[in-house]
Amino acid sequence: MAAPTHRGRSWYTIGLLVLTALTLLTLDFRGFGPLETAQNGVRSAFAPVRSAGNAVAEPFGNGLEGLFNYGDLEAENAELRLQIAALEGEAFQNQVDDDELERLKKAAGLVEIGDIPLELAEVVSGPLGNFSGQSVEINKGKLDGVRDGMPVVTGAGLVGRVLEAGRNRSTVQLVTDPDFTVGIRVTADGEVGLAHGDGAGSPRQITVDQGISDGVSVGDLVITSGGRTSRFPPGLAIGIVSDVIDQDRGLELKVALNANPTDIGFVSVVLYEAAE
Amino acid sequence: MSSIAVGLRMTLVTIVALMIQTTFFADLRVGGVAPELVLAVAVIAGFVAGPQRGAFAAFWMGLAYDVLLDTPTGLAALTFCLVAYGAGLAGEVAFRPTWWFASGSCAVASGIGVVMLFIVSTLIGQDLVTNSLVKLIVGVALFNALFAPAIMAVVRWSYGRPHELRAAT
Repeated sequence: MAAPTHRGRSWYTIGLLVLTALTLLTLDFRGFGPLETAQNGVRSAFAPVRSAGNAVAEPFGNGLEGLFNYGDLEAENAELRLQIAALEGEAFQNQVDDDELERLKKAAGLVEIGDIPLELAEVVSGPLGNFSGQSVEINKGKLDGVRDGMPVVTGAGLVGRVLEAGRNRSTVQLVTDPDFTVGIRVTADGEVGLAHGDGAGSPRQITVDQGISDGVSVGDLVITSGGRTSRFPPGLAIGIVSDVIDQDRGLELKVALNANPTDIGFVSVVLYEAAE
Repeated sequence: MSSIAVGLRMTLVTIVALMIQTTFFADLRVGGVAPELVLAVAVIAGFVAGPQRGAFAAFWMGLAYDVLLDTPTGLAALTFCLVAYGAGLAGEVAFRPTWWFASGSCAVASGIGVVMLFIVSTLIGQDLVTNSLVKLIVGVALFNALFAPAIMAVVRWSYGRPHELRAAT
């Protein structure tokens, strides 16, 4: 074991390390360009190592997941069966609603999401540790047409945006990240506002705390508002208003997300770029 | 053993630890809590190498963790080096070369590391914790205690101090 000598030098070392770490934290928050470039370089260099590790680990990971989460899987299966039954009942009603939606979209002049190309991608890693923030990694990058800022969706709706497009991989910032912001529109009355993620503690909820003044009720549908310079096209499904709170500056809405960002295997990158 | 050889061995250990953390351990979750292998290696580096060299190694491990695991750059570097420094000071006073000491002390230090990560991330306005804090502290402490004897052996090899952990003093 190390002898208790050079205590003064030891304090000097720890002080220097703490100062360096604090400096790096500051630079990170200020979006210091060279730091981001270095991070991307290291991540790209390590990507093949991680891919090889993933290939080896996947069978073990699946086995372990089955072992530790067997009870959860049973409950999930039961829930899925209930959902299938409910979906079968809703199929007819959905067809009616689709016809009505189509008519309304044309009337409102909304961009047809179906006209925007999508790039299907697999989520190759979720949060890697217990402090990994609200992002996942997908297996598509710039070579596939993916660019920074593009929306990422599942069949159920918006789950995030491309934070950083690499050559073959991209990091997706989940909609629940407190730094994630999106312009929204409440379909019932056309109210528009600005929403942000509620953080890891509320994995299926976002909050709209700017722009909403009146006329919104629990159960109203929420979609992206779009706009000429928005990163998101109009009309992407987001969720349903789950709570309306009266604040001094207007209404605050809690929106229950339609998609579940914590449980995604495949996503689609909407190859949509905002106008400059 | 030369400091270059130690540096190379610790770099290798860190890369392997990061690879295991980002592959096997990313999915090895019980109650949503994953092991924090790199934190465990940093803590044990403090015990084995003492406060100064342990904190230095832990800083670089934390920095690599920040870059690869998408935590704010400097967050894990700051936390890991402080925890390793504390572990090094504690190790100078109370180290016992037994498996239970390795497990117990790694569990306690890992729990402290989780709390420090939570405090620092909260202070800088980042909501990074994806689980309840108590569950996270207990889960990470238990996981890291489980792996500690093996990590202790690997880290001692890195610093050129091979030994066998005894069952008791």
